[in-house]
Amino acid sequence: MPDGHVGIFHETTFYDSDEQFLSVVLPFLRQGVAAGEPTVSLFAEHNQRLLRDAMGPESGVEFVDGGGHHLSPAVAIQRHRQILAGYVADGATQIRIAGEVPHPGTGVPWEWWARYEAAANDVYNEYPMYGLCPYDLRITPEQVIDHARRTHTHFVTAEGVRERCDTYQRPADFLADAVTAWVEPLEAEPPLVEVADPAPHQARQAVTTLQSLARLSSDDLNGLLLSTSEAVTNALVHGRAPVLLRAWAAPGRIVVTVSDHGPGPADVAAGLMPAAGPGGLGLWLAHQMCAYVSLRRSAEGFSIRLVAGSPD
Amino acid sequence: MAATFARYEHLVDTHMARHPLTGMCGFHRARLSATTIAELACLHPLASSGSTPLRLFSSDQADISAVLAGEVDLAGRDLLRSALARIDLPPVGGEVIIDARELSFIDHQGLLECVEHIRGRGAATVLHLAADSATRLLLNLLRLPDVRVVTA
Repeated sequence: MPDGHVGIFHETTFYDSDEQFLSVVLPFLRQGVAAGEPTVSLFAEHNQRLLRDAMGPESGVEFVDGGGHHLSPAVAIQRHRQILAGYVADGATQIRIAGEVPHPGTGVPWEWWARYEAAANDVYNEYPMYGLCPYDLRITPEQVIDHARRTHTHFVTAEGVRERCDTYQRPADFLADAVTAWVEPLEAEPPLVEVADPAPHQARQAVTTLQSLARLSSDDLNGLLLSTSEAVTNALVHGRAPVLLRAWAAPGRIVVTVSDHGPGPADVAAGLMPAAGPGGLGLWLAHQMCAYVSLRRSAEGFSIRLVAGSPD
Repeated sequence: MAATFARYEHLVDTHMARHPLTGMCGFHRARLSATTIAELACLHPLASSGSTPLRLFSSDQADISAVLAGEVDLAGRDLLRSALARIDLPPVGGEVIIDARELSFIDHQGLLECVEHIRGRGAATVLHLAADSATRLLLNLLRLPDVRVVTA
C-alpha cells in the first residue's frame, strides 16, 4: 500500500488452489502483524483453518468467523465498522482485514454482496483500513469476478505483484447499471396479492393473508410485515405514484414487491447503512429483517423485493 | 379548540381510569372533521371502529404512565405526535412506562417519535410488550440506549 494513503485501500485477488490462496494472504497478514497493525482474518471455515495452520499459534492475527460476520451486508457493515472503530479508539493508525464475501459459489445470491463490495469503498473510507478480498476461481461465477475488478481499486497477482485495477468504477457509477437482481421463480407466476396505492396497513393485511400458505416463523413474518410497511411508506413518501404492492407465497416463503415510478434511493449505501439518505433507516431495517432484499431500477421506476423464509 | 378539549379528555380519562366511574363520549361526525374526531377518539381506551388507528390513554395502574394500543404507521404518525403533546406522561423513577401489550404494530418512525418525546422530557422509556411483539425486532436493531423492554 502506498505510504500516506488515507482511508480504505480496497484490494482483490483471485486464486485457484489452497497454495495460491496462502501465497497471497499469508504475506498480507504477516506484514500487518510485523508492522504492529491490528490484523484480522475473516474467512469461512476452510480458509480460516488453512491460515491458522500456516500462521501457527500466537500468530497475532485476530480470527473472526466469516460465516457469522457475513450473514447479510447490513450486518457485516455494522460489525465491520465496530471492529474498525474499536481499533481506532485503541490508537490504531492502520488496520488490515482479509476476508471473502459470499456469492453463488458459496450458495448465496450475489446481488446485495455486489452492492456491498461497491459501497465498501464509501462506508469504510473514514477508517485506515487495508482490505484484501480474495475470490476462489474454482467456484466464483464470471460475473462476480468482473464485479470484483470493478469494485476494488487494486489487484494482487498470484506472484504477489500489486497493480491498479483499470476497470475500477466509483460506487455510484458501478451501481448505476452493474447489479441485476437474481431471478425469483415465484415471480414468474401471477401474484397471489396485488394492491394499487396501498396504505401501509392495507399492505400488511394483504401480506398477512399469505401466512396460511407460507407458515413462516413468527419472527420471519413479523420482520416481513415491518419491512413491507417501511417499503410502502418509503414509496408513498419518497417515491412517485402509482405504488403497486404484489406478493407471492409458497410453503416456507413469501416474496413481496413494492414498486413506484420514482428513481429510487440515490445513496450508494441505501439499505446497507442506517443513515443512507431519505427513507434510509427503514430500508436498512428491511435489509436485516428479511432473508434477502433486492433493489431494482428500470425505465418504469424503482422496485424493492423483500423475501422472507428460505432464500431459494 | 381541539387541543384544549383533547387535554380535558385526557384529564377525565385519567380520573376515570382510577375511580369507579365510566363514561361514553359521542362526537358529531357531521360537525367535526375526521382528523378532529381521531384526535379526540385516540385518547379513549375504547373507540368506534375506524375512528382512530391508535389509542393513547391512561392506565388504571399508577405505575404505568400510559397505554398505547392499536397501530402506528404513516397514517397515525401525526396523530401520535399530537396525542403525545397533549397528555401527561408522569415518569416513575426517571422512566416513562408505556403499556404497549395491545399495540399490534408500530413502525420505526412511530417508535422513535415516542422515545424521542420521552427523551425530551428527560426520562428513559420502558415498554411493556406482548411476548410475540414485532416491536422487539425493531428494538434489537435500533439499539436505543434509553429504552428498556418488559415482556408480559
